[in-house]
Amino acid sequence: MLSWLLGSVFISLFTGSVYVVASLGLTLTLAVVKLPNFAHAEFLTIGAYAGAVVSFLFPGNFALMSTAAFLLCAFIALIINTVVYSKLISKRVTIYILVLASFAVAQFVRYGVFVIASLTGLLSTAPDFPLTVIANVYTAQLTNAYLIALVLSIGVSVILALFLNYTGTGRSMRAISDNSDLARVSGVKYTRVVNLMWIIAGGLGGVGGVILSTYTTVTPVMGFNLLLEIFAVVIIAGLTSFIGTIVGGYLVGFVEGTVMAVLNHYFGLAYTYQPLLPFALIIIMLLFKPTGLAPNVALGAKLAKKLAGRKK
Amino acid sequence: MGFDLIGFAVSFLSVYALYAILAISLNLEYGFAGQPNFGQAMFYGLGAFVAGIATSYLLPAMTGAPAGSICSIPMLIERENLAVANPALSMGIWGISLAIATLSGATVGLLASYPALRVKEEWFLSMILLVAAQMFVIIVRNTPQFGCGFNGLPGITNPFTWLSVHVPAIFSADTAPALYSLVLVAFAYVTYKVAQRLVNSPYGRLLKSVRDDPTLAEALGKNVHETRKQIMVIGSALAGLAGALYVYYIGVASTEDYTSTLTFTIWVMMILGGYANNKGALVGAFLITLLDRGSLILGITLQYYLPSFNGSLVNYGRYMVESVILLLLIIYRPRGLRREEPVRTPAYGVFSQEKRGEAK
Repeated sequence: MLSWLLGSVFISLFTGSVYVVASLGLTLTLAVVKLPNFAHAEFLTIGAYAGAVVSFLFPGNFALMSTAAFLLCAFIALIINTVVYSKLISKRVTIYILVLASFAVAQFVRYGVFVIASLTGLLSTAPDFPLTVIANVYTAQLTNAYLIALVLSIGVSVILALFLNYTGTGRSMRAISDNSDLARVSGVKYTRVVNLMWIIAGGLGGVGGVILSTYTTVTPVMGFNLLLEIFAVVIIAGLTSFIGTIVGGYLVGFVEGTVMAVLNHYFGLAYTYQPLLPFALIIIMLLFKPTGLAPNVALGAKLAKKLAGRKK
Repeated sequence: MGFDLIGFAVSFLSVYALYAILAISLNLEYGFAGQPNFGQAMFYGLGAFVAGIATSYLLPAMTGAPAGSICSIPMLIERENLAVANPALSMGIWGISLAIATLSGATVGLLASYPALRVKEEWFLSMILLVAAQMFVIIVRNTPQFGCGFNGLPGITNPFTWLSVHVPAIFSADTAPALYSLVLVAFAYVTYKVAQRLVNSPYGRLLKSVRDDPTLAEALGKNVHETRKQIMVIGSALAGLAGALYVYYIGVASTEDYTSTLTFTIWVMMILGGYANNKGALVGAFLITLLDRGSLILGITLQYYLPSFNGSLVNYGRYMVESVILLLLIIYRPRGLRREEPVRTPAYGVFSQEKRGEAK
């Protein structure tokens, strides 16, 4: 009885973990350079493709797949920052222009992936990563991908939080986040720290894509289709909080999995409407609680307050 | 390879006219009033679906023909026959549908302005409209009760279809679309004139003051909130009208045409032509139409001469070119091709004449 419900909770945990890893990079971008990077979802696509290509050579090696994805996405993030974002940020353009620029970058990358994928015949592919069932939990299955996602999501968030709070570079990043001019005057190596930030943000997006690819088909629009879900996560996180990102990731996963299952079971809502739930969450959050649901931990609250002060 | 010059001219003019209306609409909202609308495709799609559904129900209803599911093939053929047999009625219903679509665009714009203008951070407005546009696509695509679901609502006949039976056979395929493309151009021209009149008036100055410094505008006794709401209603109504005009050109209302990619294209047109300059919007729309139609022809030509060539590559390339254009513009020429012009109210004319007189 109700085993479908418990199963769906279990699946939600997995989706939530994927969202956490996929969104942490965007949270970092928003915290440090205050850029709502709509191209972030493209890192997922690139990472998934990188992982898939590596898995054709070394089947089932998750560490190698995610390393390749991390490196490639970090490299691409660096290029994008050097060519586009750093120029715009140094010109102090309005936030709308930044949003528009990230749209353009996203579209360029997406169709670039389309071109490469259609030339290599990989428009729709899947990584060579065999899923092994470890245990059955009600109607859901505990697979190796599930475990990896769970461990990664918690591990990566903890490491990031420790890095930002207890290392010199992390402190520099927070200083830039607080006030980039002041940080520069105080001798923070702005370009270097921001570049490092992009390496981490892009790389994490890529790793998120690899986890995602273990259970969905890899296509050039795979990341783009999750763009607004990722934004739902960071908006719930209040844009800058890592602990909030974990909360947001699992909340979006739960809404998409369990709440959807309940709506489907009792009200007959078709699964094709599933994306409406996180979208509704975005609108509700932005209207009624734009500061997010992040627990009021010192760092998150401080950053959120600073970011809210940004105008135009 | 025969080249259909008339067909090309017709499609070019039609697409250009529609893009021009959309670019002007966004220019009014963002260029003049500083309201970033990242949900333009929703208002466009809304106009298209409302007009399509209105025609599909009104045509059989007004002629007393038996009504059936608007998506079925027999009804589609029935509608086409009715449109050919009743010229006056088909054109009248076209006009009514345009009006309903414009009104519904305005209404949804008004509704959207309530939450959208109350958000805390400014880019949240773009986010809300973007999300709303995505929700619109998902709802329409998965709810066959209105709009026929994934395949779209077919059989929306051009209001001039009846002409095709009255002209010599060689022209019959082109007559109605050609006439309709001229009508579209006329609509775009009127839109341009109205927009010019609107912005070269005290109201235009009000819009710019709201854009540049809302606090100052408020201090001078202007209602910033009301102005933002008004311009959003005007812009959305124009986008709804463009959508209704489009659906009669293309003949089918399908959600594929109203995604965020289109919104992005409209932004590129506006930024390319020049922020807060309606002539610029026309120029931007022209250049993007050239890119759009040019890539289409390039794809067809390449595929004709090289049968193994994958035609969708050209399509991907078109979007990449569009993104590069936008990035180059906002990095190196953020004001676009045409600069913003002063507001030419009668008072400004007197002022500039006086100034010229002083100079002499």
